[in-house]
Amino acid sequence: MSKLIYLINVEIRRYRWSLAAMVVILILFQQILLGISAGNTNIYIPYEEFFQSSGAVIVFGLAFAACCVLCIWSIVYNYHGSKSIYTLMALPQKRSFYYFSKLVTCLMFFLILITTQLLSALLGYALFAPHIRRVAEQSSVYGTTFRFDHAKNGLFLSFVRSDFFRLLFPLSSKSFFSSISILFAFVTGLLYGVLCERSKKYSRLILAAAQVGYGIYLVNYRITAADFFQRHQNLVIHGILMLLLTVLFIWGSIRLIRSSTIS
Amino acid sequence: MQTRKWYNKHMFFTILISCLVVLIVTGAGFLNASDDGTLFIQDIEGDRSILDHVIIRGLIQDEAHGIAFDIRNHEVNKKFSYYNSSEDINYELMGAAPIGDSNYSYRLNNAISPDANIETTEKKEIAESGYIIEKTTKADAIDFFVNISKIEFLRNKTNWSEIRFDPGTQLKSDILEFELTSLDYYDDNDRLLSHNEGGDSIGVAGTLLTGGNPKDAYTLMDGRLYFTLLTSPYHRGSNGIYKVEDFVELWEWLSDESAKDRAQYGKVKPITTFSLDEQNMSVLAIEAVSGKLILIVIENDTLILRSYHPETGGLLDELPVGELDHEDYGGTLQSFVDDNILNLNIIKSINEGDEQYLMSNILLSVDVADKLSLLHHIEGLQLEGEEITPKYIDQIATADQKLFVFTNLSIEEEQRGINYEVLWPKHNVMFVYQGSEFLYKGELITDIDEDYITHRERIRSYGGGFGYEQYQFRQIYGYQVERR
Repeated sequence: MSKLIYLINVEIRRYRWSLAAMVVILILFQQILLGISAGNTNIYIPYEEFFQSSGAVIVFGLAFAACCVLCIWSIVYNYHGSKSIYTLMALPQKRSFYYFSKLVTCLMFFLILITTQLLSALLGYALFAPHIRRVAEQSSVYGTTFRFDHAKNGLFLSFVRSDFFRLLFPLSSKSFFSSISILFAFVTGLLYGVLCERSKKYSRLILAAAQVGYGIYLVNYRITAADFFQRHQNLVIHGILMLLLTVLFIWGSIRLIRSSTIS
Repeated sequence: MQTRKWYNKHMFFTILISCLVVLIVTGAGFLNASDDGTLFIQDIEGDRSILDHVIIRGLIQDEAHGIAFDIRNHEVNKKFSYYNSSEDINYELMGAAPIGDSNYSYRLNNAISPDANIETTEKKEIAESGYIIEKTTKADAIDFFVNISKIEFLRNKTNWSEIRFDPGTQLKSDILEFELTSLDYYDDNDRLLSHNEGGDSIGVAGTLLTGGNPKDAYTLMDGRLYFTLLTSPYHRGSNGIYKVEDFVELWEWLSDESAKDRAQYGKVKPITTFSLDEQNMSVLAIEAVSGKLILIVIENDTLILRSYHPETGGLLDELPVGELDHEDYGGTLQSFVDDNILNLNIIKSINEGDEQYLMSNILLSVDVADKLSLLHHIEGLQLEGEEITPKYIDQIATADQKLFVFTNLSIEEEQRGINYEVLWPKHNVMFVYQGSEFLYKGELITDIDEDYITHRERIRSYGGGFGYEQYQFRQIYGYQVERR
């Protein structure tokens, strides 16, 4: 186990500056966009609408894409320069450790991304969320005076109502299970796809692509689930299917590594 | 240096634990914040101590979440529910039928009476290709037919069936004021392309037809549908209470060509009938309460509730409530049935000339047993200043021998500059009465109004249109009052 943790530490140390840059850029760019949007907003808008319309979600999309690139690079890296893949395969340890170190590292990329997004959303609310104009004092000698403050429980409501926040930070066990299973299946599918490419088993890429399609379908359902005419689907069953796909991808990936086809 | 070395060695766990702590603490914070919304009762008038003996329950919900609450005077408890999908929305509290139940739609159709005096005119208009014949038939008497559709929403299909029934009810006039028009489209070769009926006008008497909501004309008891006709003193012939024994499948009556005419479909059993000739009577609604059918009528300017046996049609009891002129019935009647108690909100609308109407609520609470007993009778809510009489009441409930009335009040001044009723600032107000005595008025203070601010400000600042989804805004549903 200590060998596995050592390998994970090595991987994470390798990408620490890339991750740090992603964290800084995500927070900075989102705050800039929220700040610009706040400057152009004259009326009160709920934070979820404000966040969505500011373009901050696009920054998250780019950061998500960057995480995917890091995941792919974390495997492809070993084939370049010193071609360390041969060393890794020759180490006196289980080859599956190599796979699990990559998998845990990639999951960590997304965990950092999600945590950063949460912190950025909280910071954005504190700094830029539109305020409601309320009557502070009526009919005084100086007329009516107003005060401006956040919507009552506005941050909580935005996390409950926003499609984007509902997907990333669900507040119920069912939705949480669904989100986490989609993430696991996506990351394991991505790694499986890269390993298939490395082992030149191109036909198996269809499986990884199909998983991405299924994931998009589920994400789309989650975004539109609150619509009245949306046909209800069981998130638990979808979640179990996603976890089965995760197990299939892990098993397939380990088989590819053990059979040395990737080196 | 030492710290950096330690951090490099344990970077994975440090980052993992940091991320998990942030996510878990924030998640717990959010769940904890679900209770932070404002909810309390603010006194307006009367003695608050009456709230010591009751529990007020309800649900604040929008499409994304619900907060069930119970209020015990100053003590407020809330329970948060996160809606994973639209299926989690509590539609039943909003009056919707759950899957598996049936929805009914009641319509009145009319046809010229066989003994009516008629006058027919035809007009030919040249169309782009072919021509149109517009046929207008004027008559001095029309008969009414009741059409009821039954729509069953099942998991994988929808069943649609109908009845069409002739109760023998007629409107008769001294002049040919009932107009029925039809449009026939022909091509250049005189072939009939289509036939459209419509544009019926049933004259001045038509405006006095019923005034009521078609939903007031039927009620369900033990899965059986009972109906009547919402007639006015201008109707002649007969009316009554009828029971639908069998509906006919949609395809069956659609395939029958004579369906459009005077034919009757389905099996309907008259429970009781009464003549409308020589009667000064308006039928306002029918309700099923505690195994009895309650017919609400105005007869000789008196509001009367009559209780009937659902099988024999025997009159069990009659309760004259008070004076109400036929012309003053505002066309709105809401009923709230709680076990053997029937609570009613009837809108009285007095014409003061120049299209000005003075509206007020008649609130009744009746105990339906072998005899009908009037528990509470209130005429006019305890309104102040610019508060506008609410046409609709959210809930009327009885508990601790008192009548609790929940409604949304609008204030005239707050409506200025807002053309959309849904955007008017609303005040969730509760009134408490006993007998006909006012006891208490309080407002449920919540944050719900904040959901409307954006649209209200947009309309005030920029004008333009406004659209919204039904469950987009938080609302309070399903008020209940229980004795502690």
